[in-house]
Amino acid sequence: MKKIALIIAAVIGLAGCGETDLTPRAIQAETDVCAVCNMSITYEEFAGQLIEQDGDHFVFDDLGCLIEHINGMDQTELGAAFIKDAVTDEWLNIERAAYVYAKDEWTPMAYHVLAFEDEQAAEEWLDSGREGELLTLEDLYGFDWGNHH
Amino acid sequence: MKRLLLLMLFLSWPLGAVQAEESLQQKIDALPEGAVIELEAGVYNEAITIKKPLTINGADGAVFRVEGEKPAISIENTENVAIRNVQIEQGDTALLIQDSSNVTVERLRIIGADQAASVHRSKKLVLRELSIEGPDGHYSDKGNGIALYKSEDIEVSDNEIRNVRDGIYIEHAKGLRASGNSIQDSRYGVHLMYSEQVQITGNHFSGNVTGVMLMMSNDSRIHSNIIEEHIMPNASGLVLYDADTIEVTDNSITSNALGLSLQKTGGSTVAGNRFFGNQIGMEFINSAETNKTKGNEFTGNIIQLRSDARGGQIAGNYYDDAALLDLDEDGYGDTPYTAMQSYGQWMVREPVYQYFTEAPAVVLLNEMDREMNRLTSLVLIDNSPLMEAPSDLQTSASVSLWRLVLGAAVMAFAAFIWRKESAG
Repeated sequence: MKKIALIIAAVIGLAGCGETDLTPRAIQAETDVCAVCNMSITYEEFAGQLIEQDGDHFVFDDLGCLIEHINGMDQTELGAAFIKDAVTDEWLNIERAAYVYAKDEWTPMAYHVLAFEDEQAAEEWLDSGREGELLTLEDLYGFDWGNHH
Repeated sequence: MKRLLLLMLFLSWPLGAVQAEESLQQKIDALPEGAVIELEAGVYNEAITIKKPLTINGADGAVFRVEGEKPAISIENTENVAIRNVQIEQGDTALLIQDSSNVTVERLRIIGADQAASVHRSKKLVLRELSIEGPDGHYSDKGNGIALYKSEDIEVSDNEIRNVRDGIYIEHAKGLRASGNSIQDSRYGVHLMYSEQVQITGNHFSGNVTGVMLMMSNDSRIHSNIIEEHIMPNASGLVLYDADTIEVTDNSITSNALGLSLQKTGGSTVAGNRFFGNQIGMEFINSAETNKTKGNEFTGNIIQLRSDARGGQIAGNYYDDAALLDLDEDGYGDTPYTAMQSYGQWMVREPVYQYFTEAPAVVLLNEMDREMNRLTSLVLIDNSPLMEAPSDLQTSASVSLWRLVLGAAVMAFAAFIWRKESAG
């Protein structure tokens, strides 16, 4: 009986060492600060989030900070990254999102890039009378963030 | 009789409607440019928009109580406007200034507004003696006290701001002078973004997450402010992030979780400040090499200075934990002060390590550091540490003068008595 109990405990324990949970967590406005610029994250609608392969979470106040962090990190440690949808305020995986650089749209670090569920959603947003430039994730990695303030 | 009553009713009832009191906006629209309105005490339940030169002087008790999203007072596309001595009770934006110049706003009391004063693309502004009290709730759920966007040549002085997101938020501004303001219980006292030629002088910041947050800005000065008691999670007295040519001088930085943090900052000077009773006095992150730190006083901080890098220009500061000798009596220690310890470096990378600051192993490590670092020039070392705190020197000078005067007076009195007795 003791052996069975030990085996069950070991199985449960090992199950806990399974795959890392790569889902985004809720922002804590009281304590969360951007991992790049150290600003407290009080505009949740612009927040970004990155989860490393070991399960460590990093949060960001602006898409520009998230991309800066990714550009500077060991890419093998990147588990998943998310950004808030500019329309629905839901988390989007950055690899599946579409982006618009709109210089008249305010963001916490004045990077002026917004994320959308897909290209169609981004185009619909642009068709609603806003000015902007459609970008892909690859564009963001090479984007000259410093010159868009 | 009935006819008479009906006639009286006919004459009196509609008269009120026909001669309905003119709204304040109608009065403003009817006035010539440059007119002065002496606003009587009372509650005004309407939002007004000013689009021409005008002065409004409120009597005590003049209150704008406005519902809805429209700002209580809007000043748009005009110049030479002054508004004085009114109270605004508005849940959204209280005061909006856009595309205007030569605007003076004085002695306004703004209560419960999500955004108290918002300024866009304007210049030559004075915002003075405003009393701003934000709504209840967490700072992430409300707006700023005074927000300035793409504006220049602005005086923001002697304002009392509390309980907002950022007391004074500045984005793409130039030529701002913020002085004599008191900002408390907010996220950031002053939050600067992409701005230049800003003077932050003689203000009092306390109980915020961070007193002054200066980001991506340059050519500015933070001088003679009191920055104290910023002790919330992630709190700092003063943070410079990605900044250039900033002077931080003669400030009193007291009882903060972190006194001053320099992050990705270069070409700046930190001089004559008093770091007292902070958990960490000052830190450098990617900033150590091109900034000058001199003539500061580090007293009673758990960690005086820490850095994530080696090297840096620190010289001529006072450290209360320095064990120094001054055999040549030049006022500077004969041996260097090791201002950075390995443990301080680690704490920059892993802030949770601060919980072990006084653990026996850490104390031993610090002592080993102190001994080892005397042999190397690669660490953050002050080669000319001050023997006495600059504030002690000032205090002792004033005490000596006082004693000198008192002593001279006593001597003169004694001489007078002695001569008098001798003559007798």
